[in-house]
Amino acid sequence: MSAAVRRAALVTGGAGFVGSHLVDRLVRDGWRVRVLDDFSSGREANLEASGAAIELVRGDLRDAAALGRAVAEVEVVFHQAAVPSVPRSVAEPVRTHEVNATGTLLVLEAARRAGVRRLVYAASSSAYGDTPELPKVETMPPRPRSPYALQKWTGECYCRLYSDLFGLETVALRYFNVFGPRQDPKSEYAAVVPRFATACLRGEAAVVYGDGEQTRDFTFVDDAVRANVLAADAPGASGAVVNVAGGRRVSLNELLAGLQELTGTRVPSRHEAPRAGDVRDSLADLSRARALLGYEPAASLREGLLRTVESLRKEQGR
Amino acid sequence: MSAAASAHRPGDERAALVTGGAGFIGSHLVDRLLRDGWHVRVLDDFSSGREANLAAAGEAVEVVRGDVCDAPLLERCARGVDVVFHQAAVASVPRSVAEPLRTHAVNATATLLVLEAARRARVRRVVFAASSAAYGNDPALPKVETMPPSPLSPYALQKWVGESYCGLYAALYGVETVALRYFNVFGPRQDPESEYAAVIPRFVTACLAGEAPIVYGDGEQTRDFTYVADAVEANVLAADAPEAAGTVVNVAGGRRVSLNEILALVAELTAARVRPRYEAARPGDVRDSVADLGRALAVLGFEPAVDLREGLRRTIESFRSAAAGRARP
Repeated sequence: MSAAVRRAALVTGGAGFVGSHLVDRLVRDGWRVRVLDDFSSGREANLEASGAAIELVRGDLRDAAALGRAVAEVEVVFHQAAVPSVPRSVAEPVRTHEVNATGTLLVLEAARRAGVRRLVYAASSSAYGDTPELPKVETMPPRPRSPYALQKWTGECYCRLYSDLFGLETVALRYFNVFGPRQDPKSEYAAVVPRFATACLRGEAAVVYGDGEQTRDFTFVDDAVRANVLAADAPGASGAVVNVAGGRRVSLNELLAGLQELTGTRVPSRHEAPRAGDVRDSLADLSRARALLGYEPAASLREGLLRTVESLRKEQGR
Repeated sequence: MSAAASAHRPGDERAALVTGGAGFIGSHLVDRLLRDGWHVRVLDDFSSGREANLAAAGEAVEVVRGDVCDAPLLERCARGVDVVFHQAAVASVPRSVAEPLRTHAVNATATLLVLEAARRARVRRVVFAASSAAYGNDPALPKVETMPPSPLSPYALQKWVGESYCGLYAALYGVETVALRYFNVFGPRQDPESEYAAVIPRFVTACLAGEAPIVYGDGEQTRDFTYVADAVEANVLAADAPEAAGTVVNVAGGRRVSLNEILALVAELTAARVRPRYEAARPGDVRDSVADLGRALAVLGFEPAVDLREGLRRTIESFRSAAAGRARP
């Protein structure tokens, strides 16, 4: 493809964990990529691989001028920017609402005004809440148990409304526990895979909230990225909500055992009280993802964990 | 606000904050609370609320002029208050389609800010004006609170987000909240003039003026109309009902009426001879709506008291005298 017809994408939160992997993939696929990030949780280092090839707009979603620059002449917006943490949303409901709910509406409105063709949104499996039915199917009624879940579900509904009412093509991808290299292990609100992996690598006790028998469907980041790329072009997908997951259910205790095996360590687990707003069990039904996007998870859990551990090792070696 | 900023003491009159208290429902609620002996503070920016709506309340009400999106102001307003009645909103489906950002700020975000202010000020209970729009177009009737939401418009979504935050603030932070899903509230003081006016004030105004009322769609869509005094009664009950914290409750008249039937009734009561003008249905509007009131009765002890004919009669009367008042030199 000649430079003149290269497709243009905006990745909001493109310096973040999932966003930066998506940026790398889009650059490899020949897209012209713009990143909007305020580096509140995104990191410069995440953009090292793509650095020179991308256009970086430093700014907040709520900065209308920055957002306007960011969406100009873009064909597809991948809206990844968020404060992706249930406990942080409980601690800071207003701040996380501004980013997760209002921020998504602002991006949709900017995309609509700029004539963007399609917006792919990073939604969340937390929308399902703690209903006992498994696997989770997109047609189930939402049961948000935390501000984060509500905010992400709100964004998803705005996506559907912008498709129905304003003709902006939107696809909402409900991520199930995405993990992989570059996921922050240090934050107070770090996700379970990088926390456990770091504990194993350091030989420290792994903190488990609750009894560890709660289950999750872990998605390797390369699979989440592929779902985004597929969602950018899938016909008949506009207005849809689609699960994106690894398609298998693993307890936190099993996860910890797997990581201990991969790192060749044995660390004690320290059990603490379950956290408010966390759900008990989670597993995705992937029928719609297959039918609508042609999505199939490719990485096995073991392979994903191995690559995550390797990258954390490298980081620690720095 | 110095006196109001002091903590409420047992034996004192009870203190309420009514956001949007100069608006249609809010001002009727203010009148009722004053009659019941509450100390009442109103927060309103008078963007759609009107001074005239607070004429009856007069000096008895403490009015704070300001924006419901102003978090520090909300916190000051919530101090020393027992119950917050959060009525402020941009209550219009078509306006939410035209202005999704502005209506998101007022309907969704401000509700979160009100809850946060109430939590910090240790307000006992927040009663929220939610909306039956949350039910969307699911054909199942009557609408029961346990049905999954299906918001068809930004307005419906924003109101649903507000009531969901109410549920979360009850579950996570111990703020007692009650979300009242209003079904088409009507009555005196409802604005007939705005571009986004609701159907009854539009019909009444047209009939009184002898002009053709505009009906969007074929007029066979149905609604469950609630007289404003009934909506006010539900709020008063919700302020104290035990076991109500964290719940969502329908508030309605409890009967299903088509727009054509309403129009015929309004024409009869005003003795008007008008023919409606039918225009295209509006995006985001739902087709049919009628409330199940089982939970309202069980949780609040609420039952609608004013029938449709009587509600319309009082509404027409008030619109007549308002028009006569304006016509006076």
